[in-house]
Amino acid sequence: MSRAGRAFGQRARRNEDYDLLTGRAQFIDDITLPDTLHVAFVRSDLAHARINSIDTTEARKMPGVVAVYTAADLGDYWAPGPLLVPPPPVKRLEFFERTQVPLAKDKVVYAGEPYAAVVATSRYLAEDAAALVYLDADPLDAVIDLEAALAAGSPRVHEDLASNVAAKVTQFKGDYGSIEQSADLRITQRFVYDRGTAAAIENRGILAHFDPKAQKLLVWDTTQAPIPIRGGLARMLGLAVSQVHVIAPNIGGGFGPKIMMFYPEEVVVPWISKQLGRPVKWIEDRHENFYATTQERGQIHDAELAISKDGRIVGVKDVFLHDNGAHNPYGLTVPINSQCTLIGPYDIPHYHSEFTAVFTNRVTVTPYRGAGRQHGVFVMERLLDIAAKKLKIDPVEIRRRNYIPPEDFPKAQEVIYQDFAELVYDSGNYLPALEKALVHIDYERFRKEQQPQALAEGRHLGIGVVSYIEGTGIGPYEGARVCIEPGGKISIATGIGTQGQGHYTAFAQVVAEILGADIKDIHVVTGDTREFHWGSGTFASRGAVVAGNACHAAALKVREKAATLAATLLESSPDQLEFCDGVVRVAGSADKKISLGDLAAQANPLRGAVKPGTEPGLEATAYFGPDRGATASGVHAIVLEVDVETMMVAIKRYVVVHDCGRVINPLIVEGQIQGGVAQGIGNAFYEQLHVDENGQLLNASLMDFLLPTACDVPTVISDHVETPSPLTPLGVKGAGEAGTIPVGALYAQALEDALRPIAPDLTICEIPLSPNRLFELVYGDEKTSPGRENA
Amino acid sequence: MKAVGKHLFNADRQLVWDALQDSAVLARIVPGFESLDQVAPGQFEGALKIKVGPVNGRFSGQVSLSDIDAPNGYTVALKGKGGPGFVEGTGQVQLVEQHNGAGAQTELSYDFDLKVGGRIAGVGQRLLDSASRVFTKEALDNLEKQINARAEAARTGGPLAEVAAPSQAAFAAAMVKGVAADVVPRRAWPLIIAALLGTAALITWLLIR
Repeated sequence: MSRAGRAFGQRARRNEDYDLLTGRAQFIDDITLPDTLHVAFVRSDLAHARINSIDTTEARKMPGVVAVYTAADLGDYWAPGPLLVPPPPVKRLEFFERTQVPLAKDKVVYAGEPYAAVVATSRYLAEDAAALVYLDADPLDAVIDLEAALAAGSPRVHEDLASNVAAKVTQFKGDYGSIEQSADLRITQRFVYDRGTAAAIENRGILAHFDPKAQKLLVWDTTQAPIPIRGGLARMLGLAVSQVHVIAPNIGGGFGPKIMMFYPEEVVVPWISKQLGRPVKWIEDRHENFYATTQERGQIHDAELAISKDGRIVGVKDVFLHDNGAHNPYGLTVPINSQCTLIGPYDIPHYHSEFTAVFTNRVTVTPYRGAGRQHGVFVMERLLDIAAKKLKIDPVEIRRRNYIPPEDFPKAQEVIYQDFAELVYDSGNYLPALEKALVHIDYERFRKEQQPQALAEGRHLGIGVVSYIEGTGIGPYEGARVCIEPGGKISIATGIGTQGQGHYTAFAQVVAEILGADIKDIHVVTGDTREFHWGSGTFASRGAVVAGNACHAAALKVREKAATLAATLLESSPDQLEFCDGVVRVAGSADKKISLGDLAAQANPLRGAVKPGTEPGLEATAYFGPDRGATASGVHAIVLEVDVETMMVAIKRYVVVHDCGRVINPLIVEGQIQGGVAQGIGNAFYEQLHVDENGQLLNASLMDFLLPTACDVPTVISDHVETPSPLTPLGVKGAGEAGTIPVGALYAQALEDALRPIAPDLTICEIPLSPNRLFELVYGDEKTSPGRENA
Repeated sequence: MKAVGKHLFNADRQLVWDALQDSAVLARIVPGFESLDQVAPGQFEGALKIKVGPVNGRFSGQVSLSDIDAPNGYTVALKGKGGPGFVEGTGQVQLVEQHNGAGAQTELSYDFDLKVGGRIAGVGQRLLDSASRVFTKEALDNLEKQINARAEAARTGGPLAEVAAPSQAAFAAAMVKGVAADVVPRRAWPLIIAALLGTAALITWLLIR
């Protein structure tokens, strides 16, 4: 099925790995400029309080302190941040915009909100002085619980609003009400998903240098979207866009929170540099990251499934609350994704979904890998599992019976997706992925032999198989410039940023395929606004789809230029030419050829005359914007073992069969899947942010907020199905989030299966789990498990 | 967080009551007080520099007493904040005099409801309950030393012996010991000691080999 070319589709080792693995890659804190000042942000300990005054007198007197700023010092520069994603055009939608501010002025609305910035000659001195900034504030009751937040008389996060409602959205397909009463079986269940944090290896950071003589601002920022940052900073600081240069260097993990734009630090640090005319740096520390970087995943769903006796879905109704945190700069992207992804790969004739987004006194919520898709998948997969159990149908079989058949594509779903367009699945073929996964996980033998044998030995093994779809590759557009250099190297520049996705290799493969070059000779630049200054950013599993197709389009233009010139030089015609091994040659005559480098030199003569209208060099820029996103899909399968005394879980086998259309590089897709699964396992069984009723985070360190380690994450067995997307010339779909999305649903199904002998009625309706929580779910309030002595 | 407990002093209730009203006494029950002033009857303000494990920094705070029913008890409202976070809450303190053959004793009982926030809550959560319990016990033990000195002076009519505030190091060591005893189950101690001895033996062997 694979249609691999010479470069495209090859399992090429990544161009960037040598630098990354040998410590040569440049990250933001590697960049040092002379006379740099360092900033410590002073953050509120209180989650909700009215500010009376802020006393910076003592802090200003501390050694090394250059300045201390509060909201009052920012003057007209103080303004709420932009609404990054306006609400999509859904009828009767309500939306109340409240975006974050640079420094808290009258009120603090979450624990960790910065209210002052201390600038000193070193971070140590800045931190010492920060401890001497005194906030006089009256604490207010915190809004934490989503349901209590909507009760009459609840304190309000934003007192100028009538309630804590941030948005209300209802979308539907068909008419659920018309079938509700007539369905053979209706299942109603509440599902709860709680918060975690992305915990990228590299925290956020920003280094800004306003040079007063050059009147130029240079900013290094760990952002996934350097171009919008440049435009926004120029506007806010009253500079021309050409005076601002933003670089997103190598970044140790983005995962979404780094696409959030105009964090307080991103606004304040460049302003300080402009005030002082010196480089100013802020690097987020790990503790700070728990309070200062956006988070995700709090939702409560009340769902209902209407299904026939033979296990065919008639309709789904879902009403949910979405924890928005204190602000909503990212609009409705996360809950809209939950709403749209719930439908999954299944043929659901009637769907009714409504949600209320709720302001709370917690860190702001913006997309984090999966970006709401987890919740939808969890609800749908769990509903099917419950139905399968009631109807005594095998959980795999019930999925088989409900898949959208391949002949139904494109499949219109009648709801509006995060890209403002109607959700239409462009293509898909779901059954082959399921059948492949069953073979890899050895489903039949597990059920017939392995599971009963293990149980006879007192071991509890469980199996899980779940499906998901992933909306990827949304617009609006990205661009790329491809240039063959006289030395024979090829350069590619694109506007998106890189956080480890393998762009330097994947884009090189796309271009190498067209130009017949070696990918080692291709140099890719991302995330530098001097190199390329149009584009949106790296998010929503869109890099390979949108920027990849732009690279493809630019390479085709360069090939056309090169062919025209080579045809003249080689006395041939463009359609007689072949591009391979770094040369252009006339088909069939081995000696009539010219290297790409020589051709590039010929394309840029330094003396003599050219024909009017000639463009110099072998360079071209192209843009690509799809009509809508491409829908990827896949199946995850797991065999796990539960220790019923401790409720610790060991994964025995983990399989992912993914369909992201044509694969540019299987090695990179498998890496994305492996990393995604690691993050999904963390989300399912380790990572949960616990807050008390006052909005105090109770596990703000990696000692208490557990990440899965290498010991907890198995090597994923990956396989591919390729259903090309008709929306793009390359036929590719995104793969960035596939690994994380269905893991919660998978754990729940497999854990129930493993624990059935001791807990036949267990229904897992919440994520994240933990050994503790699982113990409580199975044994209730009993303090000890069976077979264990009382301590 | 709840903080509830009792402490028995070998002194009569009036003496304990007086000690609890004296900022000079209170300033010496935990180390690191930079100041503790009675700004009005029943109103204290102070600054405390403390270093106990992850809690390291300067706190400033106010304590105010209300519902004063001398010498039986009062209500306390306390508010403290600093670099490591904040603690605030209210509680009741009660003194009950008891008599046995040896003389008067006074039982102090306390019942506090506390809110804790910031770094202390975020990083110290795992140890917070036992740390606050041990902290309170250490403070009360130190208070007892001062009360004993006062009782001794009252009994003998001699001069009041100076009882210094505990040192940061001594207090921190007592905290570590107390919290460890609280967190690690007693039955695990032989194992831990065996492991420590084993490690020491291994290192010794590696060094002399």
